[in-house]
Amino acid sequence: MLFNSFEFFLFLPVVFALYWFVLNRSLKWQNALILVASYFFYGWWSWTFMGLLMLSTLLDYCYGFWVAAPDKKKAKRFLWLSIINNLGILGVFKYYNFFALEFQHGLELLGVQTHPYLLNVALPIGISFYTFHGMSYVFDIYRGQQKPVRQFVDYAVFVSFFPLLVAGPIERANHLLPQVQKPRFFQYTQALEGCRLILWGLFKKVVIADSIAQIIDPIFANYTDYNSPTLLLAAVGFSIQIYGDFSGYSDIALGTAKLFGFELLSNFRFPYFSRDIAEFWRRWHISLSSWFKDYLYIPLGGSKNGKSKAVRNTFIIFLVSGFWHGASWNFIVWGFIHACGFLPLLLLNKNRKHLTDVVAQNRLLPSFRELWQLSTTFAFVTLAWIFFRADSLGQAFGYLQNMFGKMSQLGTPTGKRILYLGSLLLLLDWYLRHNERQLRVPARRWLRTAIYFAFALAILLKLGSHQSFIYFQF
Amino acid sequence: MRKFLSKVFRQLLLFIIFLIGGLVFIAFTTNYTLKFEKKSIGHMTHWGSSFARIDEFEQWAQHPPNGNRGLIIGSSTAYRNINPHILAKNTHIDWFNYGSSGQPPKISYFLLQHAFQKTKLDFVLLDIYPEVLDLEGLESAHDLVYNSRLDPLLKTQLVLRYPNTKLLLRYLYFYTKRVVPSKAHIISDRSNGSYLKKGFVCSNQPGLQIFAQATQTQRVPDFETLHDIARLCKVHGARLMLNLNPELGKTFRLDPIYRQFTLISSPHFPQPQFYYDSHHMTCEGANLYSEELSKMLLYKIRGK
Repeated sequence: MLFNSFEFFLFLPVVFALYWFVLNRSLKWQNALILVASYFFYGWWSWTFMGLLMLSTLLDYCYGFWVAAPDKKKAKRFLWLSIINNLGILGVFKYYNFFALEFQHGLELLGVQTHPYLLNVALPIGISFYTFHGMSYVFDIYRGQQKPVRQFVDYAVFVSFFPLLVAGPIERANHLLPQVQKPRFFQYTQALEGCRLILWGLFKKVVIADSIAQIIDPIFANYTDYNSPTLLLAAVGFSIQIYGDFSGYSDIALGTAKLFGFELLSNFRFPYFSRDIAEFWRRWHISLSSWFKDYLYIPLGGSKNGKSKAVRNTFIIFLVSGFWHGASWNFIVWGFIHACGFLPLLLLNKNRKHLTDVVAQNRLLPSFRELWQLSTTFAFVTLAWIFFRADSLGQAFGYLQNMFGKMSQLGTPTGKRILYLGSLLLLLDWYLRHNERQLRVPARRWLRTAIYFAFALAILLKLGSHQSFIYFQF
Repeated sequence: MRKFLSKVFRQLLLFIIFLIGGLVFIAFTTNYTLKFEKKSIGHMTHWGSSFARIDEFEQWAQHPPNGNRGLIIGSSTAYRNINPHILAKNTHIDWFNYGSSGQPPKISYFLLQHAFQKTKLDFVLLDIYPEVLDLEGLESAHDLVYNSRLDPLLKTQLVLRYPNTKLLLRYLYFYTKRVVPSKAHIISDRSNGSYLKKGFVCSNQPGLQIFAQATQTQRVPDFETLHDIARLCKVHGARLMLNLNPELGKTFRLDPIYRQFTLISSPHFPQPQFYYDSHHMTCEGANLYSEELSKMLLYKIRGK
């Protein structure tokens, strides 16, 4: 089920009503309802793959007890088994064909012809997200930061909670599980914030991202037919599209969770207002970046064992992060480009600037210096997105070649609507940039209502042909 | 909780009033806000003139003919490529073209049920343009809801079948326009062709000079609704015939199931100058094609 589908707008009020009006006296029943609703939400897409979700949940639930064993050797053995198990599921469904084909190409270079067996199954939606949930739970127990959960339903809710099931945010056990285990009470302000976030998320997804997708999809598909300014505009368009799409999804997820009394982790903090790449990665897909930092970068030694190790570890997490997004070389190159952008900051010890502040903190407009920093970071990220958007490395290089190679044949760009839509999103984001969880709304009631109505109307007019969220494929 | 729910319901109610107010405003000012109407609610003149066609169907159905009567049904390839006047002249059957834009078989089935309620049909010519088999029917639903005076109950059924906000807005807008004394109910788009009655729309677009695309073979699969349509025709005593509409650059390979149906196929119609795109014909093309189709129909009906 998609957040921008008609079914979801029927599903949500029904679950909401059952949750707060029928089962509100028992936490156990409320959790059971969330679990059933989450499986229904997932099963709406595929009942077959729901079995895989259940199996993965059950295995990690058991590993949780086994890695908590006082015998450290035994615990470590189970930890490795859990890693193999989770990565095995990912490996089979997401990466098997990639490795099989690469192996075949490698052998062909040596003159050996092979015909590997390829899997002909769809990638289970959300597999990368729910396996990472399970892994973080087992890791935290092994490290002693979390106790195994007794109630299976509580753990299953942590893994499968429908707002975050298919595209995150990737939650941590120590953040979400306590919320699952303690009674939840309806809070007016929280629910209202949730509704605002849902509206804002839908606006970003349906009005901005989907409209831009309609313009840029044909340009990316036939990039040789377009002039340089159009290709440049389409690349900028994709930057806006993916941000509107994924942050829109995250906002709807956060808003939906708030309606049920949950607070999820933030996933986006206005990433296009970053002054360098390091800040960008503290603001873009935060739950994934912090996951890799906590469970990969730090266990590898982080930046504590000298610069060379820090550089190595940085490249590892960016490459793995790229590969996490998809089994294709273009995602790996995308990760590599970001690692290269991060490297100078790391070497000059400038990667920890702008940790908490936002650009133009107490001002209406940024300074010239800040504007330059924002623009260069955005340009770098946009160029890297071309590799992310392309179907293959060849297409990405072809696109870049056409974009820069045709600079002498300047012409009028097509798809100027990207500029209006992109500017609208960035302007609204600029207004909201201080807090991504509590949207700033005008104090005047009539103005507030007018804005809600304008957003709702724009969504209604665009909701017809819904496109699925980009991050569903990961 | 009560405060929250009352706020949500209040806002929803206000929003609905705001929406209806907006629709009334647009309907009142159509002559001044046509561009806005086209962009927001959407005026699908480029999808043909279903309004006139379905309006006329009601009148056609009410007058019993002297001889046999037949209904042509299908997508835009039906109402643009098959001229019922030529078919009537050659076959001596009173034909009406009930095609609508992007109409997949499940909408044809839906419209056929409606047609059988209105009149007795002896022949049903289902025009199959293979690519419409993959359509979900939303385009057709939009066209029928917005561009036709189809029975309100049928319209409501269509809207409920396709949960789509734009379709719902168009549905509301259609009725708003009927209530509000709006001057231009349907604005005809002459660039789209002329309506020549009996459901036929004659295109005035120029024919293609060349069609360079290599010929591909497309498989025409079996589909469940075909059997539903066949059953429906049988129940009402109408003879079902399938017409595989020609398309430039395509040859068709049919599923063996088609052997049990009366099938008319015109593979020898490959001249690009008779088409204005790969599958829609110019007026001249449609007339020539209809002549050829009449002969094949006669052969299938009477064996000569």
